[in-house]
Amino acid sequence: MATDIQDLLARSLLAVRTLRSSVNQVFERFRNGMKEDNSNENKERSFLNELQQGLLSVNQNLGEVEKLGSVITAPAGPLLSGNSALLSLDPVLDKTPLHSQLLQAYKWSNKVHDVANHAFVLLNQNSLKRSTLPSGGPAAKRLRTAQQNFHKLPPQQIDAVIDTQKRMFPDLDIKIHRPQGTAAVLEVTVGRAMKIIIVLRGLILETVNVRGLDEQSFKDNGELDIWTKSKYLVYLKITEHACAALLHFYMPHRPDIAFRSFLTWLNSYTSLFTIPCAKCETYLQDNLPPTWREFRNLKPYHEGCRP
Amino acid sequence: MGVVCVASYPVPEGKSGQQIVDVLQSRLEQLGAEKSGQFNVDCETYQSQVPSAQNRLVHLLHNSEQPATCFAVLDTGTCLVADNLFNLLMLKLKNFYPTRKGFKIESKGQRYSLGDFIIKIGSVTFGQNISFKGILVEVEYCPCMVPGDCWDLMKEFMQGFMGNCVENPSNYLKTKMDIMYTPADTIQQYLEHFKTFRKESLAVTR
Repeated sequence: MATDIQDLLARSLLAVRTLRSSVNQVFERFRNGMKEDNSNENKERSFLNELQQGLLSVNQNLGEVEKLGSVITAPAGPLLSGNSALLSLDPVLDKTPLHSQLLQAYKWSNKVHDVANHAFVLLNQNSLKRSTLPSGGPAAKRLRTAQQNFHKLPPQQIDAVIDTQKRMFPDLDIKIHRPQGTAAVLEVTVGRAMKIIIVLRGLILETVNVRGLDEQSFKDNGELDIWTKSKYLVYLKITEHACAALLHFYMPHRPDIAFRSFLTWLNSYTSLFTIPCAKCETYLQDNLPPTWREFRNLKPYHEGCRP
Repeated sequence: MGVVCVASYPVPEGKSGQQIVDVLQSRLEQLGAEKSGQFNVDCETYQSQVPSAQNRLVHLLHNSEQPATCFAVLDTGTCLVADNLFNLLMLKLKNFYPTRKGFKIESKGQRYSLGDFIIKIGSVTFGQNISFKGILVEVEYCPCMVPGDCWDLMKEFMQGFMGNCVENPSNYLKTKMDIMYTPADTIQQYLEHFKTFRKESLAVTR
């Protein structure tokens, strides 16, 4: 049955093709028109003959197609053609939100355009610059070259900076050591509370280590001892806080300001044992005095009382 | 070496010294203190035999915290810090400075550490028959060097487990408030307390 239908379909397709080619031939002849080598009368007759033959063959072919078409019937039952059948199903236009979506998108893009226009006008009025200096001016250039050199300042300059800090903070006893050439290591005695070793790279603070007044700053062989940790819990805790402060005050572009702020903060530790916590107003928490100082107002807090 | 405060802890009537020591020890252990050995502070007294000298006394003290050192304190308060060999020297001088018999007094007990604090709870014994006289609690705050700086802090700590029996620094400590603390100052504080214990016990026997 199925092969029958397929056979019929193939034959009818063939018939349609021959019909099309015969129709093509007829129109071809029309287009070429009459040939010129014969006499007029002959010419007309042969042309009409050819035309008639052509039309006859068209007629014949057409008859064949109609005959085959009448034989082919629609197959019983639904046509199983998989997903391709869905192609013929038209979407219900009323149910798709296409129109409203398009409308929304259009409104939105209109709005973006408007806002961008406003922003453009406003930004043109106020030119945003990161510094007050004219970009590319001589001052900017000088600043930039100066910034790059802060990690390799000459020792005399560092000594001068430290001397001014010494005058500013009389409670800090600053000693300068240079165990490895130019890099300075400061041994700062903070009042009668503690000693702190500060390693500098240029003027940039590199490492800190806090120890007690009775703990040695020098090893037995006379070398400066930078790394040995304190044996007291309170100084270990302060070392942690000082490292945090180091990061807080870190300013690679203005290390002199960072240095001064750090020393100001450090100076507040002269009252390490004498001042109670600003929040809980007691001296001890976990058997430790208030080991943390606020970075701005320098008030003492326990580690657990920090605001 | 930090700042040390030695305080006597009162023993109420009807309680034995050992009971009070146990109470103090259990309080400390509850606070999280850890035992770190025994300690011992003893004091011998030598009396001058030279008639012209005014009955001068020399107190010879040892502290287990400084085991290789010997402290000799005069009545005037002058303190000599010397090697342990000084003991043998005193033996050589026994014709001039004989020991006062039955005058040996010492404080010994458990040593605790808690954070940066060292706490020693000692029971004081006196005389030949080693009779119990009282309790001395020594609290040391190791990081600080100056008594005046950390007195309030230490007072708060001591009040944490001893109550209000320490309000003001002792007379000796008051004179040392603003200078660096030394081990000799601990000895002087012990000697002060030993003297009062001796006085009390001698007053009772008379």
